[in-house]
Amino acid sequence: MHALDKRKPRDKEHEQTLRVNLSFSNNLSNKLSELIRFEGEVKEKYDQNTYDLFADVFCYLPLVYVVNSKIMICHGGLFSKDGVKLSDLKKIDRIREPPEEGLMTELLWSDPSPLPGRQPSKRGVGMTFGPDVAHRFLDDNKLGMTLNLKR
Amino acid sequence: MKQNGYEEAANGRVITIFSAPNYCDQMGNKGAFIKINGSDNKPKYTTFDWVVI
Repeated sequence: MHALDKRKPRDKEHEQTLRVNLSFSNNLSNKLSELIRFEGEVKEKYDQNTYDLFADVFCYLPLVYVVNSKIMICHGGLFSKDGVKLSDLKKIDRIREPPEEGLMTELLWSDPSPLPGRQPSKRGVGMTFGPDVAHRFLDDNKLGMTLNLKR
Repeated sequence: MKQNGYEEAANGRVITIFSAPNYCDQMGNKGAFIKINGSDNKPKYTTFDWVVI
């Protein structure tokens, strides 16, 4: 889970507001919560209901943000095929656990690589994408850059 | 994990930010955050060795 600081410009010094946007990361999925012992910790300190609430809320955290129409922010990276548009990402059926494959899973699991093209990922899910893939996607969507946030 | 807390690829168009310093209390890596000013969208990095909780 990551927080983005969206402080307003300092036009009204005493009325500055701080907005924090949270985004979803692969380790919040039910499967990984168990692996990283988050599930166990919550059940130990609270109970099953509390963990279920966490799991429900996590399913509403956004997968991706676009800032200033230029900067795409997500946890993982890009996609196993060219031609994916931001509008395709909007169509993702979000309110669910991540599936085994597809755009949602790739957003959460893929990694950049210095090698061109696409390669299988050591993680076993998603893939690595090279600079050429990144340039095509960013140019296609009139974006300047993509930020991948890892914990 | 990113040793320097962040890494640029594709001529700076793909940026990975790694927020956890000394990952799992043993990796000795830096953490980083990024500030982007809306006027030029240029990233400014800050790296750190540890956090206080």
